[in-house]
Amino acid sequence: MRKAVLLGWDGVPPSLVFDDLAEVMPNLTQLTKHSTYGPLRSTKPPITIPAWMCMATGCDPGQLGLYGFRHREPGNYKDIWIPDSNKIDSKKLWDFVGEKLGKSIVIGMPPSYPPPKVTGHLVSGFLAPGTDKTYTYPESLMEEIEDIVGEYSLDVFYRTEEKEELYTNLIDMVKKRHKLAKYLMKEKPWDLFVLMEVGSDRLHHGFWRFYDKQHHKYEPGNEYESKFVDFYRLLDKQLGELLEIMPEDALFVLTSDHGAKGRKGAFCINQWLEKKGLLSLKKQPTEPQSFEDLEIDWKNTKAWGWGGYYSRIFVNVEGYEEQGTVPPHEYERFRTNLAKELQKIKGPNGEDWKNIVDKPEDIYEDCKGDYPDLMVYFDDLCWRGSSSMGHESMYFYGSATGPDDAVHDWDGIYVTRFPGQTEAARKSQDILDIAPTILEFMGLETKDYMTGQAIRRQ
Amino acid sequence: MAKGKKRTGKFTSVSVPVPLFNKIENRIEGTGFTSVSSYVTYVLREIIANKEEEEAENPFTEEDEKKVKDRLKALGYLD
Repeated sequence: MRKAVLLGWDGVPPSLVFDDLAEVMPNLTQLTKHSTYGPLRSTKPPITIPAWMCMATGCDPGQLGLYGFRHREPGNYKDIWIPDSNKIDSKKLWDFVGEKLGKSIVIGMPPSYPPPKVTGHLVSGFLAPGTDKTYTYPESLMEEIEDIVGEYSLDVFYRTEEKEELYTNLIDMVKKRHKLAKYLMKEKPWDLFVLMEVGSDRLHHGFWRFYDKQHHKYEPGNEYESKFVDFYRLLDKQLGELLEIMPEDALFVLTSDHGAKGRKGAFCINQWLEKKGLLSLKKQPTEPQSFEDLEIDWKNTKAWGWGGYYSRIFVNVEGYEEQGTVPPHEYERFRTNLAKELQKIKGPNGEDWKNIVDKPEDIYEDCKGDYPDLMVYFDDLCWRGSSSMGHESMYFYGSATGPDDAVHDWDGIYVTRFPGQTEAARKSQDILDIAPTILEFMGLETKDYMTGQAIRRQ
Repeated sequence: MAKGKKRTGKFTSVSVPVPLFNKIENRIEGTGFTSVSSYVTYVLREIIANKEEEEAENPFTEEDEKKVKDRLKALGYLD
């Protein structure tokens, strides 16, 4: 079995690291001179869950039945469940490796809590509830981690105005995770080595406005602009150190699950549905209220929405939902008309938006689980959706839970370097190409359900 | 040696049926395992480790879920 390394940087857009920061990232720049690299098209939706698991399984979100960080409990309007490792039935790269008696080291891939049994070692990602729980496999690895790095950091809380503290925590987390990764890479046996660093995504959400001159809140000469760059300098240094200790005959793959760009604001999808006469409230909120606290008049509601980086729209179908109102024979026509209306939504000043509205059945190979009826991206992801109601306008700029400067973008990055590769090629790939690339290189079988194409040496 | 008494030294031998031995011998061809013994040891370690893990099973409890939901809300994933 040939060896492979998959290094993940959460939420990194291609122009940022391949162009804008190329000079402060000498290791990455050097690497791209001997690699196939470029933009990596993310999943729809382009968010951490499902994107990393799509990369690790070669399945699309529909095949996995994962459409975001939360899912519905069927037959219930408000209860939700959060994906954990037990909810992923499809085989991950490390399962393929283990099946052929190979060993894996997996650090930080979400969702990987509770830590699944792997042939090798696994450290759960940021969806673990805390380090007071068993977040590694085998459990004994927790003690070893403590010996190596002290208290391990799973994530940082980025929606805060305490920027100095956030930055310190961010750097501390990245350093600890890489110290651990280098230790495991050197000390433990492995055929597949996987490390996902979430810090880059947290940097963007917490500090994007300090770096991006196009951001509406950008202030020239601000003190965090150079810190933003310093973060990438650190990430590049860690990349160099990992490259130095990894075996020369291994495939090296660097990827990102999605990109990032400035956040313009949030659009209140349920206030819009109410205005259209499709959603009705029993009691109007006097101040902004989250969806779960709203008193919705379900018997007079035809559709409702969820927020996040994109909006999921659910149709209140008779016989399917507890208090359904749209008869099944009208469902398809209703959904198609609603999609057309959503497509036409404009910005706060009447400006045209590039909205994208999908029916899940049109974009996935399969639709498992309780999938939404429509998936909506406002203004090409520049605006988030919000399910809360009671805002003065359908458009708002702040956030109830603290500042957030960035939204996700469609393209992340990838860099693949095959052993001995000396030439470079810059081109686009798809996130579903990563699993077949790694499996093929390692000499493992790809599966018919994987629609991606393996990247091969030029 | 009586059951329950600790063995000393690094190795001992156990018996496996010849047909099984032959099957394993075929199976390990080209896998990097140098002997049937090393393969059997590997498989048994895995099984024992899994069993131990099962006994200390750590499911995604309601308390875990609440903690994770609160964190995701604070991080802005659940708008």
